[in-house]
Amino acid sequence: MRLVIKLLPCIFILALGNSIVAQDENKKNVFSGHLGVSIPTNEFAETNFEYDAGYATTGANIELNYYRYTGKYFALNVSIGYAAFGFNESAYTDDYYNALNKTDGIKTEAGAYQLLNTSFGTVFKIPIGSDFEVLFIPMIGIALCHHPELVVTDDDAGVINSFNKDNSFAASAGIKAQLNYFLSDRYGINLSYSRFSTSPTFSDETSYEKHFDLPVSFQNINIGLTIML
Amino acid sequence: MLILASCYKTPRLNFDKGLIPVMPQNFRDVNSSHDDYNSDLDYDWSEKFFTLIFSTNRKIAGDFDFIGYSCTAYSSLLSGEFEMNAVFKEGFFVDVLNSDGNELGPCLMYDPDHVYMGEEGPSDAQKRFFYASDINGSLDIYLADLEIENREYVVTGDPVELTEINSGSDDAYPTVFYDSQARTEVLYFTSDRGDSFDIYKATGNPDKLINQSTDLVIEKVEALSTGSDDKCPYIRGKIMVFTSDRAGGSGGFDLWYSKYENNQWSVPVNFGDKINTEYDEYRPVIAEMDGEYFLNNFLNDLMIFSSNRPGGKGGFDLYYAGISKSLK
Repeated sequence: MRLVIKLLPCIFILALGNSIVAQDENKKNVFSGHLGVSIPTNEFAETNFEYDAGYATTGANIELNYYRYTGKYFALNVSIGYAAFGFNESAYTDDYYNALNKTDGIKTEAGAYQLLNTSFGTVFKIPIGSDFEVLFIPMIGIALCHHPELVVTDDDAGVINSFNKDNSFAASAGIKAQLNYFLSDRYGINLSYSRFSTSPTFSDETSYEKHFDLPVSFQNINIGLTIML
Repeated sequence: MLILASCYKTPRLNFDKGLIPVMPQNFRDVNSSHDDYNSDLDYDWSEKFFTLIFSTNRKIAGDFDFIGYSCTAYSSLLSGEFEMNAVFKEGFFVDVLNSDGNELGPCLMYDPDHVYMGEEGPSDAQKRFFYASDINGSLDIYLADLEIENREYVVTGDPVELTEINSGSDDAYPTVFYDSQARTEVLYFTSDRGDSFDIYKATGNPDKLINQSTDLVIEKVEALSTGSDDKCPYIRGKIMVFTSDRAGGSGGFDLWYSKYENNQWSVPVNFGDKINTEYDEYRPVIAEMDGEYFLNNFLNDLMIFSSNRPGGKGGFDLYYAGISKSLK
C-alpha cells in the first residue's frame, strides 16, 4: 500500500499530462456505485492479544464513484465509501479466558467498527472487446473511522477493559480493480475488488497512554452499476 | 503520513489496570520445601515494591523464624500476564528478633494516611512491629520499636512483651485496627484462653497508641468467634481476614472475611472454593492495590496466604490470589 502512496503523485501527473495531450478526445463522465462484502485483513483481522489486533469480522460496504476521463485510457476519480465491520466478541472473550486461565465468567460487549472514506485517484482503463473494460484505480484519501464501545466484564474483578466509542480521521490509501460490462451505450454492471488501509488513532481514557493506534486494512468484493453520464 | 505513523504505534491495551489471578498461585520465589507461612506485607518506598515478612522453619527444623523478601508485582496490560518476583533480604531487621523459640504472626504497622516519602519520615505509629513468640513457653505477643536508617528498618532496644494482653495460654497474631469514632487503637489477636482459639480484642485509650495505653479492655469478639478454632486475624482498612475450621468451609482451615460496618463486624463470609480447599488455608494477609503510593494500578486487591495443598514445594507454602475490591 505504501507503494501506492509513492507512485500516486507520478500517476496523477501522468494522467493530467494525458489530458493535455488528448484534448481532442471526447471527455466522459462516468458514475459507478457498488456494494458488497468487506473482509478485514492483516492486523485488523487478527484475534489475539498481540499488538494491533483488531478483532474485526467480515462486514459490508457501499461505495459511490465518479470518474472524469481525461483521455481514452486515463481518468481522474473521486469516491466515497462506507464500510462496517463486526467485533469478534467470542474470540476476544476466549483470549481473556486463556490469559486469565479461566473457563467462564467473562463477557465482552462491543459495537461495530465503521469507516467513511473519501478518496481521490487515477483510473487506468484497458478495453476488452466492445462491451468489457477493466479499470485499475490507485487512490489516496482521508477516512473517518469509528471505534465501537467495548466493555469486558469479569465476574470476579468487574469491568476489566472498557473503551468509550471514538471517532478519528486518518489518511487512507487504496487500490481497486473493476470490471465493467456494458449492457448498452450508457449502462453497465460492474464487479470490483479493492483493498484499503488506514491507521487511525483513538482516545482511550482508561489506558496509560490515553490513546492507541489501530491499523485498519480490509478488502472489498463488490458488484454494482456503471452509468455513462 | 502512513509511513510515519507506522514507525511507532501505541497498541490498544486489553486491560484497564493490572489484574491479579483470581485462582491462587504458588509464590515460588519465596517458598521452600519446609513450612513457609505467617506472613505480613509492608508498604515500601515506591510503587509496585513491597517487603514480605514470614515465618519459616527452613533454617532449623522445628524452629520458626522470621525472614524477609523484597517483592515486585507486575501485570501486563496487553497480555494480562501477572508476575510476582522476590529477592531474599539479607540483614533484615527481623533477624535480631529471632530466638530459639518460634516467631509467628508478624504485624508491621502501616498508616495509609501517612506518606513514607514525606520529609517527616514514618510516624511513631508506623515504627512498630508486633509479633508472637513462644520463647517463654506459650505464645505471647511482643512489640519491637523500629527506626529508619538508610531507608531500612532497624530494631531499637529489646522487644517488649505486652503483658496486659498476654495470658498463660497462647496469644498470637496481633493486628491493629484504628477506631476513628472512638479515636482508639484496637489490637485484635487470637487466643486459646477459652475453650478454643477465638478472636479477642484489646481496646486502647483515646488518642493513644495501643502500646501506650493503660487499663486495656480485653474482650472476646463474639461475632467472629465460634466453638471451632478462629485464628490469624489480619485487618486492612475495614476488612478483617482470618482462618477458621468452623462449619461451612471446604475442609480443614479455611479463609474467611468480615467487614466493619456500623461499629461492628459483619457475619464472616467464606472466600469460597476458588481460594479454599479441603486442605488447610492459613494466615491470610491483604493489601489494597489502589492506594496512592503502592501498587496502585490493579483492578483487584492482593491476598497472600499459606496452604499445605498439593502441588507446592513442600509443607506449607505461600500463595497469592486476587480478591475483589468490592469486599471493601
